[in-house]
Amino acid sequence: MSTPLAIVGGGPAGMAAALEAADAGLACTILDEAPLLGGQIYRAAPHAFAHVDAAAAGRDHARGEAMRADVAAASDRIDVRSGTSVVGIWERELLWVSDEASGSLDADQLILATGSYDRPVPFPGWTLPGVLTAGGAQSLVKTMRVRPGHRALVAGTGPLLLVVANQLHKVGVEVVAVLEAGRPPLSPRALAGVWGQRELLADAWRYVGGLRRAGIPLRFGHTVFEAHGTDAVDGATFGPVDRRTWRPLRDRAERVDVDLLVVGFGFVPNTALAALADCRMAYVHDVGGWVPERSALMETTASGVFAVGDGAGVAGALVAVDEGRVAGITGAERAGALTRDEADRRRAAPLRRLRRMGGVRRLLDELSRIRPGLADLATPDTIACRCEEVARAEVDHAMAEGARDLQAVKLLTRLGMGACQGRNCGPSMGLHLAAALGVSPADVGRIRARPPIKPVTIGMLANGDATWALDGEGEPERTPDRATDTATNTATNGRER
Amino acid sequence: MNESHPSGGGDRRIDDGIERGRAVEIIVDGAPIDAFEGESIAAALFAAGVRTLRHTARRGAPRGFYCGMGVCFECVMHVDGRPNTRTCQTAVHDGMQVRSQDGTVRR
Repeated sequence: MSTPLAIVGGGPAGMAAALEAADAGLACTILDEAPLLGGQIYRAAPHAFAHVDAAAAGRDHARGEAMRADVAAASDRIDVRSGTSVVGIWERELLWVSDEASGSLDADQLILATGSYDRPVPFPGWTLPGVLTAGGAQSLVKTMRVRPGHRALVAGTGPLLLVVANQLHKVGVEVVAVLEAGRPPLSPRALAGVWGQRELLADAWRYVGGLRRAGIPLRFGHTVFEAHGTDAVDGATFGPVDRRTWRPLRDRAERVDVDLLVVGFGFVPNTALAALADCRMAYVHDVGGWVPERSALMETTASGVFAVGDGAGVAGALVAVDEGRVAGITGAERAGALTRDEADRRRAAPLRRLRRMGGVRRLLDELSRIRPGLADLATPDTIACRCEEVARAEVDHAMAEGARDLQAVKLLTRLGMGACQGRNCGPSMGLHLAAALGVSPADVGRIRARPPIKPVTIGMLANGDATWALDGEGEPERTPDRATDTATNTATNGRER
Repeated sequence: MNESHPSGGGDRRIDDGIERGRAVEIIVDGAPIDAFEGESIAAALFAAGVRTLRHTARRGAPRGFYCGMGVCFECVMHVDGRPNTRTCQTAVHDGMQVRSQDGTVRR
């Protein structure tokens, strides 16, 4: 199978890219893991729900519905493959798996719109059931309409905390407090950044006002220290953090009884596929960590590969949409569907908005810029790698043995070798290593994802048209697929080769 | 049969602003649990007050729903004969057989 343009990820950035490409006359294919387009912030209600009170669902839901309708209206040019995970990339050839099948897709050009996920911050008890990421809590409340608990503590940093706390309160969950590790952001410089962005400014006031009316304390300079419980969370300890470093000041801790602890320390770009596509990566702390290097037109250093949205640097949905537009237009231009002049004309508006939103982006960066003292929330016994159950002490031991980067720690401890492939432990232990060794997070590297980047069964691979193999070293080596002769296309793993 | 249920029932379901799909039943470790079409397994379990979804292989520690978006693999269970299924990403169907598992994916 082949396509002129493959777009991985069907959130705001991916949908925007597809709509621009289609509008220019270029056919494209969206591959998206979820059952319906929308990504996280524009997530759709399940098909089976007769749903949905638009007012209750909110503005983001309405924006998602509008984009989904536009994509559906362009179905002659946009091929949507939902429920489909891309688990490997070799140049611009994608290996995908769905529920029971797999296949390969050859793309002339590729746009990665893979989004971000909640930044994992280990602290004692963070693996207990009832400790949820802010995004996880939102998916239950907003999409599934289920209360994740009765009594909640919300902790972390960034504007999403205010949103989640309001949503929880609105559906009847008692929120005992919102803990923002940072300080109030209302400096004149920060306000200047959002001047002209009335929507965002109004949002912030609305959410802060919502907390005030609900009597929910918003405590700046505080964070969660520990989650308590045996089978699930039944309490939490929190307290103040050092103003500059966010190091926990444990002697001033308080304890509350809660059955829900929502934790959100901003987001980390999902870059596993960009790394697999051989995009050159750079560490940019303010946009969430490792990101692919890009031109102004969203091109990575890999030929024909674009990266847009939060997966290329966390900046939110509005920036993601315009980045997606620029990449979609540019992809259409490269494919010959648009002249240079016409492409320039179409790119002008989104590029202008992206420049203008730079001010907001700097403010959001400031709000969610995590500080090194957060690494001190973990004690030696705290689980660092949730999948392989590696404690932080084991990571420290590896450093004592001479490990100077994440890859060495991985080999010594199994950190990052589990199902999530280091998405949870990599960012936090990268910061821990950097702090302990007195170097930049860029110097300790990252945990490299290996294909398949999500666990797949041999059965799923066998039910497809892709023949692929991993050699003994784990380096990918594709053999050509022959879609016309499926009998010979038995997927195998390394042992059988 | 296709009649939808405006009220979810169960004290953790939110009843305003939504009309759920058809009522179904899933079997979790042998016990029936009410669910609605469109719900993820994890959401149905949360609604029923079930938060602990598995225990880990090495330490036997309890784990549950965490990221809600398919990244962390903490919520995996044995579903209709398939181990390591992400319950936050998998929709329920009537008669679905769900079992908790010890340990998680070994790669």
